[in-house]
Amino acid sequence: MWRAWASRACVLVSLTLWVAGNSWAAALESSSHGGEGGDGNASAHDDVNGSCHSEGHEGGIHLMSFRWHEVGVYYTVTTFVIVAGLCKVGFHQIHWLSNKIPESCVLIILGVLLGVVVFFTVDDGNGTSSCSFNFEVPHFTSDKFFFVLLPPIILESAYSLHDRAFFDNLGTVLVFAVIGTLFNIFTIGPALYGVAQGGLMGTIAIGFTETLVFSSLISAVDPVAVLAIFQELGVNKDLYFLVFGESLLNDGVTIVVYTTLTSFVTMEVISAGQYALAVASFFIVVFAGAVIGILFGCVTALITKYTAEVRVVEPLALLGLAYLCYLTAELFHFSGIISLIMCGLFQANYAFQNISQKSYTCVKYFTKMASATSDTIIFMFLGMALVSKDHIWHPGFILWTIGFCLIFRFIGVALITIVMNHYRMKKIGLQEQFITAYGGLRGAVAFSLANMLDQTIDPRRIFITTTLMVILFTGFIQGISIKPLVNLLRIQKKRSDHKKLNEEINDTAMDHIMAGVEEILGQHGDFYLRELIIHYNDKYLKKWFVKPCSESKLTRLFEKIAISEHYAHLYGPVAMIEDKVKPLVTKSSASKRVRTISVSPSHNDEILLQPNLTLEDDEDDEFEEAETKVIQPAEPVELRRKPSYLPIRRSRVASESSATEPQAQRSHDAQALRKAFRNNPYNKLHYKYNPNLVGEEDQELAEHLHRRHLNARRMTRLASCSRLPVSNIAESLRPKTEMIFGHLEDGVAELVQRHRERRSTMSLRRRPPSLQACFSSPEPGHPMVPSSILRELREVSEPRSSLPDIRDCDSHSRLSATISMRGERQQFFPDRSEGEKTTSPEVTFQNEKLEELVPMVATSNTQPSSPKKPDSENEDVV
Amino acid sequence: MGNKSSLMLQEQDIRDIQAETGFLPSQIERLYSRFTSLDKGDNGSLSREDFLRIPELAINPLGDRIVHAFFKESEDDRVNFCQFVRVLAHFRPIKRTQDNKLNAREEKLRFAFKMYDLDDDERISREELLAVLHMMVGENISDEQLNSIAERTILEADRDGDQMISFEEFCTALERTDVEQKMSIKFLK
Repeated sequence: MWRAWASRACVLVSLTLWVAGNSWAAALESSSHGGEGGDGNASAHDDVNGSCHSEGHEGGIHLMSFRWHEVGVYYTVTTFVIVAGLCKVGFHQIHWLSNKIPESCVLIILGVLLGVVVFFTVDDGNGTSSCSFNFEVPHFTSDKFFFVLLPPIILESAYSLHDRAFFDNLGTVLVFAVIGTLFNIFTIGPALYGVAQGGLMGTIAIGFTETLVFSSLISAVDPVAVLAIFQELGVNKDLYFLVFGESLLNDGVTIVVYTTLTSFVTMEVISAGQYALAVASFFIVVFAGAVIGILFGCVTALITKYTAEVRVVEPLALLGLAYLCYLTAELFHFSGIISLIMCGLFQANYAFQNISQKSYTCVKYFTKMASATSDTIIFMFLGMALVSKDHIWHPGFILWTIGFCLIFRFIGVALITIVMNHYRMKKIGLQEQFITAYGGLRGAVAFSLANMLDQTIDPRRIFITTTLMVILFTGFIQGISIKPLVNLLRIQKKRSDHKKLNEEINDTAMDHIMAGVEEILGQHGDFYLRELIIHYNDKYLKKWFVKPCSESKLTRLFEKIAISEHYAHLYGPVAMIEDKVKPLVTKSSASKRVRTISVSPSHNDEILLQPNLTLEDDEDDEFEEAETKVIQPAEPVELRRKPSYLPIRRSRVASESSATEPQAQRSHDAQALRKAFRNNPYNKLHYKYNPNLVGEEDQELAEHLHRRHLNARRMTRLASCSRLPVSNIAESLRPKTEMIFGHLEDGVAELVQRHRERRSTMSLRRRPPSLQACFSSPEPGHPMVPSSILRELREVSEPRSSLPDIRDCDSHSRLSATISMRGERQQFFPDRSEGEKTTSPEVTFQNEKLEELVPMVATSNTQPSSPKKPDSENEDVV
Repeated sequence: MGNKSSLMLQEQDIRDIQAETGFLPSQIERLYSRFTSLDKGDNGSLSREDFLRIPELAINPLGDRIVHAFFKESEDDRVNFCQFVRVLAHFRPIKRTQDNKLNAREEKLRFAFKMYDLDDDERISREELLAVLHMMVGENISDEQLNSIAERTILEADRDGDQMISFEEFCTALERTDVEQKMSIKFLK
């Protein structure tokens, strides 16, 4: 791990150096017009230099020329963005670090490093050459921040705000955002002024209004910082939206107070009318911003209503109009953040229903990518801004500011929660209050506001340095310690599982019930309001903004469940095998003399899976037996006409003594299998919220597996505790179960015992028979077979030759499905109908061999197109 | 506010109701004034028509079912004040200090369950669920789809394989839902 880290760090540092060095060399070269350029750094450009040199004097065709003047700016910017992205990659490779320190902190540190490099190189260049630089490493400016970096982050968060939990907490969030921020501004400012006047801070010349200006910019909780920290925390939604919503919505207050106070600084006399105007401007800034956002959101919805023929413009419409909305609001000095949030919410509510699934994915991924990049760049900029000659360190002022920020944040949160808990149904507990207060991180918004301060304001440089220090303190100290604190205080974590249909229906029902009760009571509360809004939304707004054919939430949920179940049944068994493949892959390196045999009876059809038999050398004789039995059946019968999962073309039995190269073979197989899994259409179905888009495919697969297991287990339970008399079941199922569960009763109990032993010793020699897996719990390592099932199975099945491979599981769920669903089977398990055609297993194994046989998928001969095949069956469900 | 109405409400009644439901006297008085304002005929009891006269209840898809829930205990299809308050007591927020049967999680769930249980047989059949779904969803869903949703929902919750959802199964299906919060109202004083 260390070596890997070191090498990665080296790559990163050298890359950074290379970029800096290159740019410096280029700058040097352009300033001196290729005069000497003999420096080590610039040597790479020597020949380029030459051509550049000649370009200056002669016309004509050049095979190569150096156009730094035109390209340079874009070049450095792009390189910078890429370097920033690479830093992110590097960070996530270093797992021991990324577990403890939030990403933002590492990025700030990297920013400082880059800042130091730039500081010295650029400084050096300045010293040696007096010519003007047209080269500039990108650095933080307020314009860049507000017009380029911030909008993507806000848009992404606006989409994420389209959540029930946010609207449920909206009241409290607004109070926190408005009253809480005002409270902080008007306590921190006077407190600082008081301390300064009292002389406890050291020497500082600072006016009252100036302190208020400073406190207005330092008081606001920052959305970028909060997002960066809280996304990694994974706290429950209520708490998340409480903090995050506040940080987003306090923008209006911050803007108004900040601009008002900065203009007050220059004014000689402030009349009462000015105060009234300031209050009025607050409402205008907020509400005009919101109205602009709503307008643009509605326009987007209207446009996307008619884009069915031109799907390409859908992402453009959403993203473009959102940005235009932000710019429009900023143009009139309204709150751009608030207008962008409203726009995003309206888009999420209406436009998302109009656009195609792929456009939606595109929008989602683009905003995510853009916001992640912006986020990275912002934190690196902050780090770079730390390395500057302009800082004025005033330890007293810095320490007092940090202290007051913390103290008044805690007081403010406590006071507001006391009041709000009076009105809230779900009270904010003490622990959650603490995290809300502690999560009040400051960030780049404050810093850019400090940067925007007028040069005439005297202590501007002190303010900038102090702001930066507060940001660093909240980012590092609070940001790093908040995770252990969340665990320590036992804050409820976010629930990640999917909603069930029952829950969805009942949530709707409960909303209606509560609204009805409020109506009967004559109290017009939250539920009543919600009901009214939903009513008018359905009645009018939806008709205007949403395509008529759009589906309700319930339908979408149902489709999602139905499709995922469909795929789970199509691919379930394959996915289940993956459980076993993984340990095989990892452990195969340890196992030495294992024989691998791909059992592939000669048949041109495709079969479901190829069991790989892994046997010990000392069991060679038995192995031979097994082999002969495998290939013996004269007329292999097709199990299914359409293979539902991972079809593999059969070939001759390939027996090889894999002692020579078992590892390579295995890992190759496993890789091919993984690839096939990844191409599984199920994976492309739904995209989850995942800030770094890490392991999307695996995640889906894991989810899918989990569902599959749960389903199988539920089916088993259903089968075992069905009310039907056992004899009935046996009667009705005999034809199917005969072949499936034959031979079971002899060995199952014994197998369970053996399986447990193997699991505990992690023995590689013998693998649990796949049948076992069907009845074991979803989590590997916790095998448990309810005795009732065993009993049931024993009663149901007859001793006959059976096929102890993964098919059993499938057949078993089919069995249970038959019991529990009868008529519905066709609906939910379309692939089952195919299965009905099954007549008899093609391969028979002796029961004694059961535990020796390992189902392992041989994928070396997988057809590249094979995963697509089952796609054609989709129509059955959708 | 409730001066006039409280005259008609005896002190003893208030105390009895308070003991049974856990409402504060001020809340009971407020509820009583609402009760009398709904009681257009001054009968001292409410009929279904009295309830359905509330305009907002007309747009509530479950309005009928909610009103029906009030008549669970009455024989003559009229609701007196005690019954009225007892039903509403289900929606009091749960407090740790107060132990009250009426607003327990199970009672809240039972109220929700009764919304679906049209024929009062303590089971939700597919037809019942379908009927309630029809009330709640809008136009933009086909009957076929709704049918499969209902089937799927039953299948999801059904544990004993009888194609119905019993109350126990209903509770199990909703064990992750925060019923205590969602089915509580802040009663005004």
